[in-house]
Amino acid sequence: MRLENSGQLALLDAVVFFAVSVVVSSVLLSYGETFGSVDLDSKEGTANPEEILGAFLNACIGSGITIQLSEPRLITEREKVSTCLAIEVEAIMGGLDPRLFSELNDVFTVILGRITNPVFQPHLVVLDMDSETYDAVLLLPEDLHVGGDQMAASTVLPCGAYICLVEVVLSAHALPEPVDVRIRDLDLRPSVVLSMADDNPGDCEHDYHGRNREVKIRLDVGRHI
Amino acid sequence: MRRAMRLDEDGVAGFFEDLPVLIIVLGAVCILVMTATRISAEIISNDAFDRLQTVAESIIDRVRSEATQLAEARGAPLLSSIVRLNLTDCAEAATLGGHAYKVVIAVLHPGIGSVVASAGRELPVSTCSAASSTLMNAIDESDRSIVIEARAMVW
Repeated sequence: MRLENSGQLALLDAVVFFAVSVVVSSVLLSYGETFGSVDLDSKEGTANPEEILGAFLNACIGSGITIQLSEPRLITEREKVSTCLAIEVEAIMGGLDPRLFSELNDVFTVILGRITNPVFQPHLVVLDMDSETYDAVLLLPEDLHVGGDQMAASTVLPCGAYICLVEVVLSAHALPEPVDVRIRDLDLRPSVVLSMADDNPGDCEHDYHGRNREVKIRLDVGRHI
Repeated sequence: MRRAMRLDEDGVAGFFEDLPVLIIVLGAVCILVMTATRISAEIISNDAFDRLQTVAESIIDRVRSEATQLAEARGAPLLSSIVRLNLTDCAEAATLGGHAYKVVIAVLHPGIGSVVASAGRELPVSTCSAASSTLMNAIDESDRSIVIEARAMVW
C-alpha cells in the first residue's frame, strides 16, 4: 500500500514537472515572438517620418495642374509641394470649397505613397494653429484613425495670412507573417537585391530573414532592371 | 537468498512501473531543451542582425554626408553630382572589407524606381541580411526638386 502511494506520488510529480515545463516553454517562446512584432523604430522599416516630411515638402509636384481659385491658376511641375500646400490651405481657410483641390490632393497622396515604405500607410494632416483646438484644415486620406502603431512628424508652414502645422502620420499595416512577396516591378523596395541573382539568370527564390519578419522573395531576373 | 530474490523481483517490477514517469520526465526535459535551443539561436541571429544593421546604417550615413557636401545654395545637391558619388568608397570604408553589400540610389519621385547609381561587392547570398535607407532631395536636369532614396543592403 505504501509502495503504491509512492508510485502515484512520483507520477503526479512527473505530470506537474511536465506541465511546468510546458508553461515555461510557452512563456519563453511567446516572449521571443515579441521580437518579431512590427517595430516602428526599426531602420529596416525605413520609417523616419521627419525624413519623409522634409522630402515631401521640398519635392516638386511633378506634373502641371490648374487649380480653381478666384481665377484659374496654373501650377507648373517645378512648383514645390510646400508652396502648393500653402496655396491650398490659404484658399480653404479663406472659404473656398476643399473639393476644388481634389486633383492637387491626389498628387499629394501619390507623392507621399511613393516616398513611404509600403509597410506603412502615410497620412497628411494640416492643422490650423490660430484656432485654440487646432482644427484640421486638411486630412489626406480621410480615414485616419488615431491610435495603434503610429509615428508622426510635424513642422510649421506659413500659409499666407495663416500659420499651419503640417504633420505626416505613418500607420503600420497589419501584415500577415510570414509574408510572401513576388517582385514584379520596382514598386517594391527590396528590388535592390535583384542584382544579386545576376549570375543565376531565371527565376530564383531568396529567403530574407529580417528582425521583424521572414519573407520569401521571388526574383525574375532580367525583367525588372 | 530468498530475500535477495525478492528484492530483484521488486526491482524489475519497479522499473516497469516507473516507465510512464520516465517518459513524462523525458518529454518535459526535451521540451525545455528545444525551447532553450530555439531561444539561443534567435538571440545569436539577433546579434548578427544588429551588427549588419550597424554596418548598413554606417554606409548610409557616409552616403548622406557625401551628398550633403554637394548641396548647392538651394539646399539640395544636383542629381548629376549624386550620380558621380563614389559609393564603393563609402561602403568599403563602412564594411572594412568584411561584408557583402549593395548600395543603390534610386529616384522615387517623379516617376519611381529608376536607379541612378549603384555599387556592390556581392558574395553568395546569406540567410541574414540588414538594410538601411535615407531620403534626400536633389535637383534634376529639368531644375525640378526630386526625391531620391539611398539604400544599402548588407549580408
